[in-house]
Amino acid sequence: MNWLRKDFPLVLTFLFGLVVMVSKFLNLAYFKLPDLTKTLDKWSQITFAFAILVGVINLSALHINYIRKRRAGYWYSVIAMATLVLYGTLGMAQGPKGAGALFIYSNVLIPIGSAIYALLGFYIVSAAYRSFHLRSLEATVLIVASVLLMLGQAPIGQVLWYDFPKLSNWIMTVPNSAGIRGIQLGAAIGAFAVSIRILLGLERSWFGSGGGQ
Amino acid sequence: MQIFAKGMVGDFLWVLFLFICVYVMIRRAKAGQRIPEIRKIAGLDAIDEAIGRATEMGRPIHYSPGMSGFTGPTFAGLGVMPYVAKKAAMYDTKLIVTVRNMYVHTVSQEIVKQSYLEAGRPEAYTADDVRFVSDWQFSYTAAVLGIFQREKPAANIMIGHWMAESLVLAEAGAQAGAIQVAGTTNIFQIHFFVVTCDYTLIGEEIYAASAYLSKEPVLTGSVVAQDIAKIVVLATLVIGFIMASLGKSKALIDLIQK
Amino acid sequence: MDSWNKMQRIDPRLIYLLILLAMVIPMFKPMGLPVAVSPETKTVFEAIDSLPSNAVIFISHDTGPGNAPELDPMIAALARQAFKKNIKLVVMSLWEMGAQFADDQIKPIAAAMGKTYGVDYVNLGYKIGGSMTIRTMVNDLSKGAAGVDMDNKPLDSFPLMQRVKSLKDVDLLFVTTVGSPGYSDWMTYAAEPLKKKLTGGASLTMYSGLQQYIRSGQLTGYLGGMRGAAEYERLVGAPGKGLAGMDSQSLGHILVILLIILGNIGYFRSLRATGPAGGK
Repeated sequence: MNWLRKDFPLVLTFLFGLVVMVSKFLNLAYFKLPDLTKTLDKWSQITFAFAILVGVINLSALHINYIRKRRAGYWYSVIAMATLVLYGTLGMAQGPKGAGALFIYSNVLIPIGSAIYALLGFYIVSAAYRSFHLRSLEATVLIVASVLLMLGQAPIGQVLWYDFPKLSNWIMTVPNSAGIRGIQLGAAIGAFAVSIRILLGLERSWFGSGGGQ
Repeated sequence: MQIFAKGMVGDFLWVLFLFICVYVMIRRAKAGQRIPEIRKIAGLDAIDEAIGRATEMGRPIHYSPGMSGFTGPTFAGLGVMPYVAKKAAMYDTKLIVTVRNMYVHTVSQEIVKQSYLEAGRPEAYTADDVRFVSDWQFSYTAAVLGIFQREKPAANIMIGHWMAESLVLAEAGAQAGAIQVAGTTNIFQIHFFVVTCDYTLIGEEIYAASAYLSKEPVLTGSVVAQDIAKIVVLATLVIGFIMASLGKSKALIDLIQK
Repeated sequence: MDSWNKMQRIDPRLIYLLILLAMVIPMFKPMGLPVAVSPETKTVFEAIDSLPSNAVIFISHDTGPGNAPELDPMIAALARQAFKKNIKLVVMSLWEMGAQFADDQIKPIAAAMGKTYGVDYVNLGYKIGGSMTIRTMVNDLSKGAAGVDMDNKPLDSFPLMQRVKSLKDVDLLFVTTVGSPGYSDWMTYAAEPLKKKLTGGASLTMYSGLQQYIRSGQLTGYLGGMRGAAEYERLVGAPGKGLAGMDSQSLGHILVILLIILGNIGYFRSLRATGPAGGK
């Protein structure tokens, strides 16, 4: 059983990784090999549908437990469960484009989603106020750059000094691009190295073992 | 008819080179030969501080491996999870893991359960604390905001792929008084974490996390291999820069694109 | 000192109220500040302006509701510029609501400019599948779009689609982007392999990260957030929601700068009184 839990996933990972790599690198027509990546894509979609079921079960178990124990704020759990049942039933009965499900989607889900996203505008201001302090050289560079960019982006900057947009454009295109390219290069190579570790079964922390003390 | 797919020869050589680098470094590590150490990463050292603070305050730790499915950053997030879970188990501090992706949820549950077992406290594991919240980006965000408000975690660790919710979550965490460690490779979100979190893992640092925390020589070897690859890329950039300045970069570009 | 300490711990809700006022007041009382045009926006405008009459622009409005206020004005201005030059538009979105948002912008402009659906523009609707869909559309647009437009009408029934059979038949790609799927998918799977020009607009959050692609020419200019939309509206000569939002942005930015200054004064005053303090 331990083999099934520990080694079998590694073997599967290696095999499927190999299939994808071979499909990507080799001219499959030359070797008369079928392209299995599309089949794997389909498998992935099917297993994902089952994973949704697992997710729904977990979510329901959690909230039913809260309701049963009358935990503080259990009403939120009641709302969550009622919504799950209502939206799920409407979706299954009328299809995802049915009038009922579409109404909830357009008039509840979308506005709430937009509202949560809109918090960003408010939170960035309180975050700037709280943490944009001239504590070090790096912090000073960050703050000066952000103030110049803000003045460059808004027309008021141009009123104060005609060349603010040019200056902010320079910050964005030269030092900013250089930094981003560096981070992207490093991250891409890092992702590569992690992929190899996973394929070779060296990175095992993602199924529980390892990870130090 | 050619053996390689169109435009993949350069990519194949690159992958082969990386494989060789990783193999050589791992062999050296296994043979007990000297390999360079990973430099100090403040954000990862701070994880202990964050867990310690949550323990002292008797408040939970919130952990999330990000918003995507099984991509590189998610693996990095899952790589740090056992470390946090074991510490939480050892110190008897509640760990709340929130997940957006169903696949990742199943794996996260397994990781936390296994970590509690390895820490010798399997009875402390509560399945309810590894929560699949919603696969809708802002429903997930709203739910985690609620958790921050109600359960007031003293530590918030978010390592993985983050998108527009990064600032909303990190600012809400700061307002809840949590010590925050966040990491992502998404260049569009790093600055938000820098502003709102106490420690930020920038870009590739998240990929070194599991090796850094576990201190396993084999994993460290692969991180060293990664750095060698980076040096080669930098050298190629410099050569490319010189050749392009001389107007003779075509051969290099052809080789890379071959 | 006490008051400075209090300033350090100001209730965030007060800050939220101030930013709300800074955003809303200019909407009712516009200041009409001037907007200079950046080289990137000029490049976008010229890329469209250089297209011949009857050319086809393929638009993917890849946005969600949160970013629509920033990106929708770009689509409106694009429709005006394109229709004025008798350029045809094929529209879609890889995001659930994007195609509908684009339709809301294009339809009234088309009606006002006497353009006909199916002849001058077609909306394929929301297409699921991200990069997989793009890859399919490179060779077969109808297959990638499941053969129908956003109202489930067969694509074969539209005169415009008789000559746009794949992405190879379009002259320019215009992609708005706020995340994934977005510009990188279109760049990797359509623009690069087909050697097509790719332009469009991004949310301001993403814009700074796109600069290297603009510099390298992989993106033919790009519009950055509401500011980019406002600049583009100015070039097209049709002031819209982009330009209208500029005053709010100005006041919002000024407020943030003032808050940063205030926060720093408070920080240094409290430092002087208590010595260096930790935390953010």
